Amino acid sequence: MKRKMLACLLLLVLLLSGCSTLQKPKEETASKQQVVTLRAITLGNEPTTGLDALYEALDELTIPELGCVLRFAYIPWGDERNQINLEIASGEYDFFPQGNFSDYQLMISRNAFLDIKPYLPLVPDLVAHYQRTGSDVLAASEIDGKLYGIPQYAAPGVNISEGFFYREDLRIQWGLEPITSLETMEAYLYRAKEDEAFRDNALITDNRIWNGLWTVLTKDRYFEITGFTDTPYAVCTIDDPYRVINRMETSEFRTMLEYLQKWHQDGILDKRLLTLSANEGSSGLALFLSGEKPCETNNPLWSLHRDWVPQLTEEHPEWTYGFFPYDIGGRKLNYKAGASHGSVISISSRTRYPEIAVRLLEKLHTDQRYYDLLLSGVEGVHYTLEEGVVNRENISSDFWYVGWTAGTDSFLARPVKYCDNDVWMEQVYLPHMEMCEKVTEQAVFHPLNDFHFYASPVSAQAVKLAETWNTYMMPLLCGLSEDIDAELTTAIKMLENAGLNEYLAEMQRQLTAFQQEKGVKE
Amino acid sequence: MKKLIHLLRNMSFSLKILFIVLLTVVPMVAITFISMGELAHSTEERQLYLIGNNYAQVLSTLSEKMAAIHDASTLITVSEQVNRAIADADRTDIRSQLSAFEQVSAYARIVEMGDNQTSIYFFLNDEYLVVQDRSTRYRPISSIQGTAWGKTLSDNQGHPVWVYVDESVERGKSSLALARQLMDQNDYTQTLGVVLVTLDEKEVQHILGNALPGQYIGICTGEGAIYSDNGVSLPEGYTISVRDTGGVFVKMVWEDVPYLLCAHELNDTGLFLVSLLPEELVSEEVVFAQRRVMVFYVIVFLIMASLLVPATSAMMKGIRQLRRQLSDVPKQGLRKLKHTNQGDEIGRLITAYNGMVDEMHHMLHVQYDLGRAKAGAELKALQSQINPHFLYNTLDMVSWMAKRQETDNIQQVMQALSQFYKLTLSGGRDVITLGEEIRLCDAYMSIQQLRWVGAIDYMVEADDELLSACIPKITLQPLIENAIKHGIMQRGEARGSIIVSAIPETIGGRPYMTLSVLDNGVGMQDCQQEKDKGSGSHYGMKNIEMRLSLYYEEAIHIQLDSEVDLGTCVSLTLPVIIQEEDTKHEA
Repeated sequence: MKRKMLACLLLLVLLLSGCSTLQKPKEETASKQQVVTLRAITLGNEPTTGLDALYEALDELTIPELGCVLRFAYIPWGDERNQINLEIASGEYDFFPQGNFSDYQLMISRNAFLDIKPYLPLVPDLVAHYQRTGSDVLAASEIDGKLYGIPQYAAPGVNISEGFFYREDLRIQWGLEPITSLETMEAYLYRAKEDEAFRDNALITDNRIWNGLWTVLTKDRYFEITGFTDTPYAVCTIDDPYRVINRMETSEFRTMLEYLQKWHQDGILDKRLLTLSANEGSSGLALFLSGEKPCETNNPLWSLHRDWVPQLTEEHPEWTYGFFPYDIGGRKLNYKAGASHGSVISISSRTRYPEIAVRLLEKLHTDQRYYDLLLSGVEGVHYTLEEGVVNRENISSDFWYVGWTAGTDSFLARPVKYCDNDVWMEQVYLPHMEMCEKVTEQAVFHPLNDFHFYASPVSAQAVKLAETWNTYMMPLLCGLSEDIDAELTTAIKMLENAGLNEYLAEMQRQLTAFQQEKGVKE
Repeated sequence: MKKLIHLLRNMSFSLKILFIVLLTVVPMVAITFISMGELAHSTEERQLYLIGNNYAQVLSTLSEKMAAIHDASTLITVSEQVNRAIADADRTDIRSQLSAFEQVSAYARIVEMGDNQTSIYFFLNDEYLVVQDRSTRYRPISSIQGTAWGKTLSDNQGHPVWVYVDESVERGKSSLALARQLMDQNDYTQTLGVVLVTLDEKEVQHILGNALPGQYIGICTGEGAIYSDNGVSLPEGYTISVRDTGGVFVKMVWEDVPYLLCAHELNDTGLFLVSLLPEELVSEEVVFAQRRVMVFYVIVFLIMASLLVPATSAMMKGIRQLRRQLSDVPKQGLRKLKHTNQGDEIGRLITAYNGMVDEMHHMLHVQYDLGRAKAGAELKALQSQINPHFLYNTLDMVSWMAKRQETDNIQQVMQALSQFYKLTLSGGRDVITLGEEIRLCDAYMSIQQLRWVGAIDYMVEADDELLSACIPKITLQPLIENAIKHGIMQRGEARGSIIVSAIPETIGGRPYMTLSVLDNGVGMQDCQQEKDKGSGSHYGMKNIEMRLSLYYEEAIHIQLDSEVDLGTCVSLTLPVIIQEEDTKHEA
């Protein structure tokens, strides 16, 4: 009996000791597959919850299909031009978004981007995709015979770009007329300035205000040749679109400076406007959200619809909004932009994996799986898909994903519902979209469609002009002038010293060549 | 199970104590083993955590350092000031060139300020004036050719790459460095030179020194080329084959010896932080911890044993003494035990035992007295039953009646006598019913009334419900006999009456009956004195009380009320006990 009991006890002890045996470290697992890493710069803010879900889903596609992984670095809107240039200089990224927000021409002149054209035979689907509207958009996007970026792809049409975004509920409360002109817009600004809530605040905090003001003042007289950022010095007239005119010598430019001077003196413009970076969208939204300003001057409708209104609706569901587009409506004739005129995704000239990079861009524009992931994020994490509509209204703002800048492709894009704001949709967004469609029906192609200024021959002048512009012209454009005539004369003289005339001459040369080539084709 | 319980119940105290000790010790041993297992587990986990933590700290520190160096190299690369100075230097005169490079140096010094272990070198066109083999900042780009790090940079197409730089760059110093091409910002397809940002290997080794003794930790490339380590030797013949374990230690075996291996890439640098240690390093600590605990438990066990043995032996000593003394009881009789002045349970047991002996002695005395009283009563009863005087008088009376040919009277006397003796014997029973006792008294009185014709009136008043109540026999008859003998016959005319009554009562909720014998004899002057006589023909009332108290198990007292020349009333209050019919005869 005693022996049996002892044996049982010993067994129990052994069993219990066995339960507590050491937990062995796990066995080695197979090593990670060797894949190359491509790095892309994109604009906006990364979701606060990170991109792990996106990378996990994306890697499942790119590793087996392309042998690469793609990783994003976000540059917030605000100082994107300088930041992109710095990242180009660092040589560490493979993709850069380029457009009217960046020094695209300048960087082309510095050989910052890969000429994609020799790689097009590797991506026949991409080439075919960009020919689906009849014209060869990639060929039209070439600059000096080279393709420096794959453009975002949209059917030709009239687009609403920037406009005056404002609190409609305040306009009604203040008893102001609907905003349809510069005068009514100015009336809103001055009435807002009288309001106790905004008396001590500047209402315009974006130093690109002159872009909008110029457009409103001149929309029936001038064309932009390539854009305000690339060529702020030159425009052409609607009557003669192939003749370069010095913008600063136009009477409208002076009128615009007068407006800016007055607004500065009356506290409408931010006193610090000169020191602020271009594109103060992020800080503008923060001020708007906190109720410190009731309007914004330089945001395109798509940006308001995608980024601003959802956040404002989340914070202030009781507010209503209005939008006054600077460049659409009230024109005698409207012009359709070509597909080659949008922003592009460029590949670094220093990339070690150009073929993979080009094939990745092909996937972006031809494979719905890639497009959905890269532009909308992961379904169920960043959005929900309801009857083909990307819906973000029930997703916390912590998960809002900003798609790859300049990667848009209207042939793959799904309709998006960003927020549940019926008033905005019915009174602002949809009416403007309908207006675009109507205008597009009657619009003609822009005479300068497919013209791309190749700045390399005057790259040295371009650098000096940019510096001189910032030093002498930007103060005037921020309203910091006492004697407009004298200061404008000085600024023009300094620009001329920096090579303005050579620059404009080269532009005229290229424009004439474009006109001749176009004439031959036609 | 029953057997086991029986065995346990009947086990000796010493065995029981041993059993209890075993019940305590065995679980303790079990707990010790379990604790050892748990300890081994937790110690190993702690060791692995410490190793992992050390590894993570090294990884974090190195990652931060390398990120800072990467940032420094980026600041140099993207600097327009540096770029323009170097790009334009070959187009300027010597003074301007010196000035331009001074600007570059000033900027480089600012960047270096973040870490005094970091140095920035430029490898530029040999034609620049400032470029020299021994320059602290600007070296000829031709000096890169033929170096391992130069080849690595070339293989990486000039993109930032971490390399190991021997003492050829910094005299007496080897270093870990980030090398990258310096691109011409006016033409990104052109290169101005190479930037090398170094981190002193001593600093790296200092960071790597944060490891366990015997733990190897080093930095190597994905191909296994070691850049730096903490000096611990790798197993003989072992070459590192890097597999990113995600910062987790995994088990591997080399030459039949188990090792723990961990490798993780340092910030996407292409370099891995590798750590390798024999598994026994972990188990050594486990064994050491187990030994410590084992020693602790042994000490605790010994202390417990040293306290338990004296305590139990003192207790057993008392128990053994008690057992010895009690075993002597059959030989030496019930006597008090020798007190040991112990204040524990054993001492209290002896005290209680001695008290019990006292009580038993007292009870034995009481029992002895009761026995004597009972024997006396029975003797008296026997005497009454065979009282020759009573029988002589009765037979004499019968003789006289025969002479006078009073046949009827003779018949009556003989019937009464027969009834009297029949009831007195009662089949050997001590207890009879009140009815039977009254019939016994009736028989007795019939004889007495025939003897003393017309001298004694006798009457019984008894409640019918009480007739079945039990009563020790010959309780009333002696009282009647006393009433005739000492009461009525003492009167001058020798005439009188006797009334026997039985009345039910309720006292404290219980049924009682009061039995009375009332005579109108001469009465008594001192009732108590008469009661206490208890000898001779005056049947002792004390003995009646004792017998009744013994039977009813409570104190019964005879109440005497008497007045001289008026008479005496003797009464008893007794509990009513009704016996069932079937047990009546047994009783």
